[in-house]
Amino acid sequence: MAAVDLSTLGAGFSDLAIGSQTVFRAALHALSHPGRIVPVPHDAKTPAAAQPASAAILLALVDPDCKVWMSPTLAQSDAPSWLRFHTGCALINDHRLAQFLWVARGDPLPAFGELRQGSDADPDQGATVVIDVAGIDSTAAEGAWRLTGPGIQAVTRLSVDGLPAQFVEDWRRNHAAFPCGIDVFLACESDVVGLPRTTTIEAIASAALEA
Amino acid sequence: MYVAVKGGEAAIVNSYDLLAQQRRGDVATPELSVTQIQQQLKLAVDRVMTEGSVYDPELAALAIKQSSGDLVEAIFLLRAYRATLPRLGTTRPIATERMALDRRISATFKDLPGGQVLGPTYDYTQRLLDFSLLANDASVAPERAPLPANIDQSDNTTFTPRVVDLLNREGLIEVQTPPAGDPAPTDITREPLRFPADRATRLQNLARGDEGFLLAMAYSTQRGYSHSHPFVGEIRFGSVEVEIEPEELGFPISIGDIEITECEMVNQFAGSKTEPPQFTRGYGLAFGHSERKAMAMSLVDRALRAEELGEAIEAPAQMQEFVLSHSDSLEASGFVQHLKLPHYVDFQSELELVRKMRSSAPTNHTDGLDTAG
Amino acid sequence: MFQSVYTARADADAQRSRADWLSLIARAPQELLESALSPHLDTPIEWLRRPETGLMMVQARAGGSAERFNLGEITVTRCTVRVTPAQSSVPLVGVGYLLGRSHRRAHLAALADALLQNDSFHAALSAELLRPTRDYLARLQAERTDKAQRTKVEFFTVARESSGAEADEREEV
Repeated sequence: MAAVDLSTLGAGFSDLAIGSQTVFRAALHALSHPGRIVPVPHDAKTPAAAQPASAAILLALVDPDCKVWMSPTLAQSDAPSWLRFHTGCALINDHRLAQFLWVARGDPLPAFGELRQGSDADPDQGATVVIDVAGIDSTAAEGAWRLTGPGIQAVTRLSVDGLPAQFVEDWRRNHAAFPCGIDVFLACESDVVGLPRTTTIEAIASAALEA
Repeated sequence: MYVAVKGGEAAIVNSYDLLAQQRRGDVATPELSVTQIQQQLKLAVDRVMTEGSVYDPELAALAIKQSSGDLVEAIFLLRAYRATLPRLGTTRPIATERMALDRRISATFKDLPGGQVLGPTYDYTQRLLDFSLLANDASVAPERAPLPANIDQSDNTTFTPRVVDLLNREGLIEVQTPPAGDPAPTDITREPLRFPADRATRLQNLARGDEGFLLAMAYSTQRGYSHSHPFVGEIRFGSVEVEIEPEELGFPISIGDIEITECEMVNQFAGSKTEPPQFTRGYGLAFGHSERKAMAMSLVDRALRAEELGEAIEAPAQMQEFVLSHSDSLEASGFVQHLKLPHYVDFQSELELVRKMRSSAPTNHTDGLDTAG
Repeated sequence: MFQSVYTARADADAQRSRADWLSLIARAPQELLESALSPHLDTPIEWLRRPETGLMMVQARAGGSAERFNLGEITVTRCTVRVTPAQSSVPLVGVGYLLGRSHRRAHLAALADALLQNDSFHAALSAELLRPTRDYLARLQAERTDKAQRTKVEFFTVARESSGAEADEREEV
């Protein structure tokens, strides 16, 4: 068992209860209103390799019973020791067994179909994937997604900078597996967007997404 | 089946008040402090810690105060509090051979290396009420016994191996070593109990089990309900170091000491297809000074090893399902006491049924009732 | 994945002495912690982990030496603090791990652990905290041994038939 370098490790929430409850509320809000950009207020000192909002979400949601997988960029940073020190979660190498997955900006996404899908009896056992992206915008006219589904009154528009082009197709398959499937948080510096498996994504201008 | 009922809020609140008054007793008498309970009702505190399965003397004493001394209720309170705390990890296995000993006796080996140390025990007291304790300040300093000659003044935290291991020169007592890979035990506070349960699971269940139940089970094995002829290999009481290995440090540290009682029982065993005739062992371990509990646990542990040792399972104490399912005072007390909850609807339906059966039954069945008495 | 602060063998001694002082701090009476640390209570600290109370499962072994089993839990309070004293540019990280539920004691313990890692504080804390604690624990242990040893007996087995056997302690058959 190797020690962790604590002299540089970032602190967690200054108030564990209030800090994690506040972030939990934001995560709940994000999943209740898919596609809506939700600020994640927190005072944790998060790892440099990760978006602060995603780090805060994992810090609030994960506990010692959770198995967490991290993409290569994060796995080679101080993010694993940071999350493990503060939450006691188990870090695993096999993405197929993970309950939470954390993907750094630019790292390839694991194939959604290989992740824990839950079952008809226990759909809640599906994995949650937290993906760091460069930017999220709900006002951009071009390159936007049309989101529909439970939690969305009519239509929500969203454009995301930093996702691979096939995301929309992967998501269509994930959505089709309902009630099984995975849920996603997209995170930038201080905001998250929740994409529960019930949400439908249509790319309005797929050409712009490729750019 | 019980049903939900409404109403009674005011009566319940008043009942809380009465309970508080009953707990406090006559206010002319000074109130009992938690520290007093911790210091002066040590054996009750130790039992609540053992069966509440949380080592924290202050919390156990508080639970005893709150429950007016009802230890099963106190155990319930401690278990409920436990459920509010996060699990921070697991300690390294405690090294009972490194205990600082307050008491150590053997009924099988007279000449213990280091001698038999009686420590604080009721064993040699006359069971006569001591009326001098009625006087409030019976806190006379105890007379000091003369120090025996050849006293061993060396630090007794040093290695004091278990007597049974030490004196097993002929190899007639089974030797116990960790299984390959030293697997982590299942934790019954997190995983449901499943049968057949391995020994580690059984020991955890017994360690939390009700002392009265285990005592009766142990007694049954002695009275012939399982072929058992046990001897106390060793009983020891003292304190042992708790070591943990925090991941962020990467090396083990010692974070304090806890008091424990350990009992090792040896039983004659006629042998099986794979094992030669020898003595086998039963093990008991409890928080604090809980000797009766540790002894009962070791007898029941041995009885439950029947299947492993190829013995016929004939007695209740050898039956896992029977022992492990009924050992927990919380579960037992909850299920028995739930009968106090409203069963009005259930009972009405049975009442109807009995009325119907009665009306369709031949009338001469009721004749006896009229003339009875 | 984890970077070791201690390069295994080279710092084994440092590790051993830290484990040693942590074990003393965990058992130090609170008054001693308060008085020994009183000059340092104003040192600015950063909480890496604020004091929290939880449970640790105590494991034991069947028969004392065979398979591991869960005996029951203990209350444990822990915290981690980062301190950068004025005299030092290197941040010192201290941990507090104690039995029981005292956040204050865990805080003081972590502060002591941090400062003990710095040469300019080590000697003073060693003299004011570690040594008195060691003495205090030795005294407790000596009293305990003394009390226990006063109840030590050598049992004599008495043959029932013989009339002249001496049994000055207790008859055992």
